[in-house]
Amino acid sequence: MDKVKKIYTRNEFYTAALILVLAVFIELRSGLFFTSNNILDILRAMIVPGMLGLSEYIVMVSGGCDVSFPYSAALSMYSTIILLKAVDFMGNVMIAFLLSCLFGIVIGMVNGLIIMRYRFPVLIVTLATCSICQGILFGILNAHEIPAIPQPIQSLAKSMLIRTYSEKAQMAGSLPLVFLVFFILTAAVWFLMRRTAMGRSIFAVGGDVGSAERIGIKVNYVYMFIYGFAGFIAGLTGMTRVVLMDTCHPNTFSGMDMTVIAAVILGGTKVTGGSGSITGVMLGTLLFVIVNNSLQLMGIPNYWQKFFLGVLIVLGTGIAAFQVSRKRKKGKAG
Amino acid sequence: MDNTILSLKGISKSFGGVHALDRVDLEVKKGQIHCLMGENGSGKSTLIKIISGVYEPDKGEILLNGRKYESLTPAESVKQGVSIIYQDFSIFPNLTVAENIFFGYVIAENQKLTHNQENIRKAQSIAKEIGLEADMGEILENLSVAQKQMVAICRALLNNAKLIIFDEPTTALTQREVKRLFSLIRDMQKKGVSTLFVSHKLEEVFEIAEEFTIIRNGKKVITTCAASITREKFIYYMTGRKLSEDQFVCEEKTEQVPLLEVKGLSMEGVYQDISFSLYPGEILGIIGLLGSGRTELALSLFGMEPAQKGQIFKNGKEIKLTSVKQAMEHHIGYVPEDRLSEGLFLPQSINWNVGISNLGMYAGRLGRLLKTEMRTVTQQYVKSLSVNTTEIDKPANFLSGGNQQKIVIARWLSCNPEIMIFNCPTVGVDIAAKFDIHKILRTLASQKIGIVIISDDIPEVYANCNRILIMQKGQIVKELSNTETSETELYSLMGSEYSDEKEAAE
Repeated sequence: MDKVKKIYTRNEFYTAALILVLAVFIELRSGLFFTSNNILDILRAMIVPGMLGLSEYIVMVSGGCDVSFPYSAALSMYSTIILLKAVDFMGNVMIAFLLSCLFGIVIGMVNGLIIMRYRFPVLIVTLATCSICQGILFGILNAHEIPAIPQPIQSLAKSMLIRTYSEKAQMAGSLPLVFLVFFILTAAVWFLMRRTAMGRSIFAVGGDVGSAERIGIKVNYVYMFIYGFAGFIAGLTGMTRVVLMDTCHPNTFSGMDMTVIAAVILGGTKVTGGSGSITGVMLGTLLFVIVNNSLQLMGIPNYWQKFFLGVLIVLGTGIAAFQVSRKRKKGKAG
Repeated sequence: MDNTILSLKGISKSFGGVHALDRVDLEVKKGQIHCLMGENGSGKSTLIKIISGVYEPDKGEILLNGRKYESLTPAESVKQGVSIIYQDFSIFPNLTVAENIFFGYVIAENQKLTHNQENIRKAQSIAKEIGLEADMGEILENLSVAQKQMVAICRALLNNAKLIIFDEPTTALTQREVKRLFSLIRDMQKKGVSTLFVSHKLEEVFEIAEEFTIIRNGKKVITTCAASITREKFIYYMTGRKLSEDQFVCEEKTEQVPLLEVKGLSMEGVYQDISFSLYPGEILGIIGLLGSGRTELALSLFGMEPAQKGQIFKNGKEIKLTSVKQAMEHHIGYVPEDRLSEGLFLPQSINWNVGISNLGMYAGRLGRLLKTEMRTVTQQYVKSLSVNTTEIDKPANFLSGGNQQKIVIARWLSCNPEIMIFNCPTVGVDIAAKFDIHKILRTLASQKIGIVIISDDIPEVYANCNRILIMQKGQIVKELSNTETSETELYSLMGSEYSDEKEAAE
């Protein structure tokens, strides 16, 4: 009985309900929602925002808000591609991923170092590093789209995990092999956050930093891990994006910060730290993807999609603002 | 020497030339309940931090379980069985009860994976041992203060604590919860766990301590056992001043019309049918446990949470109190329970804190603020209330609790109040300042201001109020004059609703 009551009070519940309503509504109007190609499309569209959502989730649980990923991911991916092109890379595609992740980790560690040393607000620090990455990308590297990506990456881009054909929609659908990267990452983050001492330390730091220090958690080490790992995910996502698009565009993540953050918040992760679930992150991401992808099945014009996305962002950030003000009040009462 | 767990010899510590501790000795025996007493700023917290290994002493030696340390690391201190229950308990509001209990153990043991059944089982058995009745899977935020404290104690015990240091553990507890904590401390004593109980509340210390050490201004004053000392002596050791309180006697009521009269005031589910009157020059006490409706009643009288039913009369005329502004227009002042968050603008200057309620008075033409006048008034009150500072431009958080409270009082006095409501006026204030505040209350009463004190501090109410109302479950159940009651009677009257419940349960 108690458990049931708890579900009602959680964001996840409302997000899931909203998804269901949307899905049924779109299906009734178009009859094309529950087709194999649409489902695969949605899954495919979830890969990038889902991975970025996971990194934001980790940061948010610790009490921060990372906005550096659109350009730390872009810089990692772009640097990797130009490096590989310079050496006429023909080796294992894993090396491309590793290299991109490495770049991501370095950028993440810079975030972590500043936050750990000076305890500046995460939002400000990551805003600055985002800007710096953007500067390096367009200023120093003079970035532009590279359509001819190295051969091993191209061949991965053509590898599919599932291929289907829907009679109803009379359309072929497919799910690329890199979906596995997303899947494995999700499982890994779940394990990290639920089962390891490090993951629980991140929750503890998000709950009360002072207490965490006093019971012997090495808080600085935890911060370095969080931002290093967030950088790793950014690098991984960058390369995944290249594979998905079969091209390398430096502006490919621009504007994603808002939607990713709003999706994570709508999924029930608290901006004030210490609480949130992977299920929530996935639900929030799914909601955004459906609005972005599937509304067109009903023939709703593009600008209306923008409108609904805007509403969701306001909703997401509205919840965040509400949480912050409530925490402030609570802090006073206690 | 074998039965000593902790022994400090000649510990000195200074910060930038200021001696926080000067050759302090302290000895705690195995299974002993020892109290460390001292006013705010006497060096208690510095001493705790030295025992826990956070600070390194400049001079002196530390003996833990017979082993000598020149300095101590936090990890070593924990390993030797020292655990501290901080005032805020150092717990995680977002994690489960079980996790809060075993997390310190996970970290100490350097476990990489957590949440296994073994840990939960351990947490459960410890919780059962000390009688913590809470669902292990519950999020800690939803627990009561007393339960949170028990969680912190569980955590200490799981870390194999031999010496538990309680830093002002009773600040946020009700009388009944304090009783439970004390019996728990005695139970742990039977199992050989020593307690170092840090406090500045006399009543508690006399009840729980076997031996105590008093420090003042960083120096040890005396170590003695509880039986061999009187209350007056004790206050003298703590403060270095001879302080005693006579019971407050109200001058004859010459006025027939009460200053404030309340008839049948009710707020649904909070308090019902409250009636009382307050005469000029009186100090009226309203006592009740946390949750008896006492705070809500005070807020209603100040217009913050207006009552739903009933009438309020001032000088015989009916008035409406539905907003703070109205209350202020009727010259009613309110000093809140939690001055830090409700009463003061901590980072702002003392001057600003005193003047803020009365900006209209300092407004010149075109609303320009007359700063010199404001400063003069502030300076005058700082002097008359003997606030321990001369620099009124310093931020309020530089002051100690007692002096902060004086600032809140000064603010209201500058508004010429006729009625002042004090909600727990001396919570977290040390003894000397407490006496000062009581003196201020009496001076105000002698100026014909009507004063209401809402509190659960029985000795305070008993000594300072000429009439006492007892509030239970939102109702006033008894009215007494302070000359015809005793502290013991007040304690039993205030707590009786709980004993009723207990009997009913049995």
